Amino acid sequence: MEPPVFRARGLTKVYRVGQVEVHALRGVDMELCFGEFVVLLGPSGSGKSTLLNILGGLDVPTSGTIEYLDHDLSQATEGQLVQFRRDHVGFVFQFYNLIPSLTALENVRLITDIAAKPIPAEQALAQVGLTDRLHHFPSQLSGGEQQRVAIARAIAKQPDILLCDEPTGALDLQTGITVLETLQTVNQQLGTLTVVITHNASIAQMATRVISMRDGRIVDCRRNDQPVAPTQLNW
Amino acid sequence: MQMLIRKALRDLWNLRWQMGAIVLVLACGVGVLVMSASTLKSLEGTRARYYDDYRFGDLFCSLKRAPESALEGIQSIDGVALCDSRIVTAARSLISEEGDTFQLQAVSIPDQGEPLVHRIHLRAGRWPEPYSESEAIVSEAFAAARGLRLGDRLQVAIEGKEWSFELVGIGLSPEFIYEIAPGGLLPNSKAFGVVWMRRRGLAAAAGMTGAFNDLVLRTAPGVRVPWVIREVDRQLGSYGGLGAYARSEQRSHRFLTSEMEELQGMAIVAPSLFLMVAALLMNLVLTRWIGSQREQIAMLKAFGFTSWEVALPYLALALMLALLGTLFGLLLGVYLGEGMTAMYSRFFHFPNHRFELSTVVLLRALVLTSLSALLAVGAAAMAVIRLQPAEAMRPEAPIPYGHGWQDRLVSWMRMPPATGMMVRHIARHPRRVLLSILGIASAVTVLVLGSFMRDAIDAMFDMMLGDAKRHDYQVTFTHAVDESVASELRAIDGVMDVELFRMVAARMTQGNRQRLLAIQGIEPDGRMQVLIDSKSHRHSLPGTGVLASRKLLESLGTDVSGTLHADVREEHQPVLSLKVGGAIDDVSGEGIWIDRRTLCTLLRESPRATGAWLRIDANKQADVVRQLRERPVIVHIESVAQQKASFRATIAENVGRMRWINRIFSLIIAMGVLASTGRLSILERQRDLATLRVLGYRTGELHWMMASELMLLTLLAIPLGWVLGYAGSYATVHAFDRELFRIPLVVSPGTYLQAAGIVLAATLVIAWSMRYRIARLDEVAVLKARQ
Repeated sequence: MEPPVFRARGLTKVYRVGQVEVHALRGVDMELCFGEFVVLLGPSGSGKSTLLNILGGLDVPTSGTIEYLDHDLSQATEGQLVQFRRDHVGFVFQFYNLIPSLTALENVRLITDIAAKPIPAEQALAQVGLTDRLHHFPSQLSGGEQQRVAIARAIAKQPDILLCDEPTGALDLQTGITVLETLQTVNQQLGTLTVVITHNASIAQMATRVISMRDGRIVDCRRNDQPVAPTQLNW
Repeated sequence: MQMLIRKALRDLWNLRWQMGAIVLVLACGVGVLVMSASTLKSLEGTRARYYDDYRFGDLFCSLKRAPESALEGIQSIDGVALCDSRIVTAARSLISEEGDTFQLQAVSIPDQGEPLVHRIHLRAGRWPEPYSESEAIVSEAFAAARGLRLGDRLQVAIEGKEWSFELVGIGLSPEFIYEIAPGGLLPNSKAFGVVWMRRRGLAAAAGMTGAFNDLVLRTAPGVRVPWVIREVDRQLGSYGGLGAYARSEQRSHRFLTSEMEELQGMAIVAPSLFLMVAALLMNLVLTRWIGSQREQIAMLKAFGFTSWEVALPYLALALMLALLGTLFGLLLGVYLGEGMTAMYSRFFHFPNHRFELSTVVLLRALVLTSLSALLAVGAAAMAVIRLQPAEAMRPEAPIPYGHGWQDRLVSWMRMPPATGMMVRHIARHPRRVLLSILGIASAVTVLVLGSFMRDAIDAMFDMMLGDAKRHDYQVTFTHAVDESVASELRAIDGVMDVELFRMVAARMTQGNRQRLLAIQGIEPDGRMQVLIDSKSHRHSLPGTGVLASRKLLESLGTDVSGTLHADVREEHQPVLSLKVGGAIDDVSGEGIWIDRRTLCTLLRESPRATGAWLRIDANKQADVVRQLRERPVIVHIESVAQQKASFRATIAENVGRMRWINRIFSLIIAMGVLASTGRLSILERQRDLATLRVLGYRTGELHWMMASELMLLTLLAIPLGWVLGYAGSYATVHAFDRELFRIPLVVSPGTYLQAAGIVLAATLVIAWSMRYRIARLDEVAVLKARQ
């Protein structure tokens, strides 16, 4: 068994949206290892995105600890969190978050410019099958293509951890499968710890571990020794 | 970073119209700054070179008559470098084809060669032959105003004797850059000029052979001028010396200095206003722009960009705008400055002019624009950059609609939903709305400020020439004559009324402050020349003491209860103690008025007059003027109508040009602010608009909604612009506070209405153009995009 990459103990997170106080996490304990493909399942408001943000160093817990290898992220300064994200984390968002004024290639280069050990942007885009769309702006790409650019952007830095928030949420079935195949390939070939948030329980079939959340707590955590290919998922 | 910069540049291109407006407004500010400062620098440089090259005097003294031998004593005074004795006298026209009159100041030049001090720049023609009594040079302004050409002959009376000379040269002198008749306020080149003649001829005409009555000196560098003045006064006292004075009190120099101070005032007020507006506009556009980039910023931070790296392109962009604004402003400023310098050089008749760009001001402009850019973008950038990435990833918390006064207003007035949206939108974004209102208001302000100058000058015109001067002609006598002259003048057929005055030049002193001016002895119940203050209130002479202009009292550091010491510059040079009995906020700057007879008593003379104001039957005007000209005692006749025409003509070009510059600039401001506001409102609310259209609203209805919001902002901005315009006018009046005349604070209702009208018209144009953008909205695309 690989040693854990992440070790979380008693994580809580409380934040305010407008005039409302939201308890997003209410004590989460978990350990994640390199090479795992983890699917986080749960209804809206269950705390999946908050957990993902804390894992990715985008946010810090209100209480509890989160460790990445020997780094305590819960005590990290803003500068240390930036360095952590820069060196280790790739993000894929539900709504792609591409820069509309940059082409596909430039969106990826944006990240390879600052990464420590990047692969060429063209290669990252080739990995997601977008060789012929390098110079298209986001507005000239379909949703699936945009998401694949987002994945290329995430993997171009060769991250240790790939965090994906509803990567297929805005896509049709066929495009969703293509995107998931890309993620699985990256996970299997590079051994990247991949964490995918989804509403879609069927995606869990391709995971090596499935974590279910409700009301800010982990309610179930099970291993899947026989993950299936995205094309074989029952949607 | 390269990609971030590329992103910033592409974003900039998307916002090109708004950015263009910012750059234009910045360019206007920098343009006015560079124009005023460079014009000032050019004029100062031109004047300094003119003074040096043509040896303008450092010290001046008029006297009654001194033998030529007295010059030796003056030349031996320590510190006197150059010294010229001259004969200066008045020459008045005998015959004028146009039926009007003129006065010339006749100045002698050496019988051979050129003067040592106050050299003449020959614009055309040649010097008079040595010892010639029939050739002369006249000043360029006068020759131009009168259409005189080389070879023309002029006939004048000097000391009552007729004299005829041929015009052989047209010249300029640093002594008469500002060519104003004694007692005049503005140049009137048709009525007053300068003629230079060889000494022998002029001496014969003025009865000054072997003598002189005027002295100009240049001192050696580092000499204490007051000491030289005392020494000159001591030596010339017995020759009727009227008191030497320094360059700072020389008439033309004072007027010119005052004009330059005005330019300096202009270099402060207008550019500050433009730069403030540009900063506002930048804040307005960039805050909204950066706000709309929350998610992009969050993504960048999520991928490990530091806050500084994310902020840098925004700051660089702001600086780039500042740089562009400065660059365009520089070009604009140089173009306008060259025009202004040429205009002033023509006005002042400089022999030549050279435009000099003020690099200090350019640097100052760059610093100012950069600072305003950084201030504008800094706060907005920092606010988003401080956001935790996770927080920024979430859509902004919805604005809590439902609990404010605006919501009660909407329900109470039962506004339709679309109007309700508009009111709520305005009320929920007070900062943005305030910035937009301030921006639009500043356009109104600039318009008020631009036109106010015209109002003020009109008012000054009315006060100085209209309301105050209720006579048709002013005649000046060769010397103080007995007041029986009044009945002689009244006896002329066609003269309806006569009022005498006695003026005497005096140096007013109070401690170590002093001012050289004319004490004006007038009739206590004067009807023809009344005293009017800057608020158009009529003043009369106080029961006891003198009436003094408030500006003079301030200059001398005294007040209404004080006593002024007047060192009279006339024959016996008495020193008078004048108790101040009242003060007046006079538009003509510095003056002292006293009862004529009291003045005569103080001067220990019988009641006398140095001139008179006349009212003349219009039908007999030509006849009266002819008869007046025949009297040797009258040295100068000036028509008020001609004075008025000359005043208007002088002011028209200067003010007219500034007014147009201001109008264009304020239109740019108004269009810039309005276009940015309108465009951003549509961008921010395109989802609302798309939803409404999907729900069945027509483009026209949506357009009306957005346009009326803009119109509402303009209506709110106009009164604020008026108030700021008035405040700006107040600041301008104080920045322009001149020694020679004072600009009254008058803003006419027409100016307010015109400013509002222009901004309203600009609003209509921009509001109309919004229709095109609304019609182009792709509601499906907008609704599909994430909010």
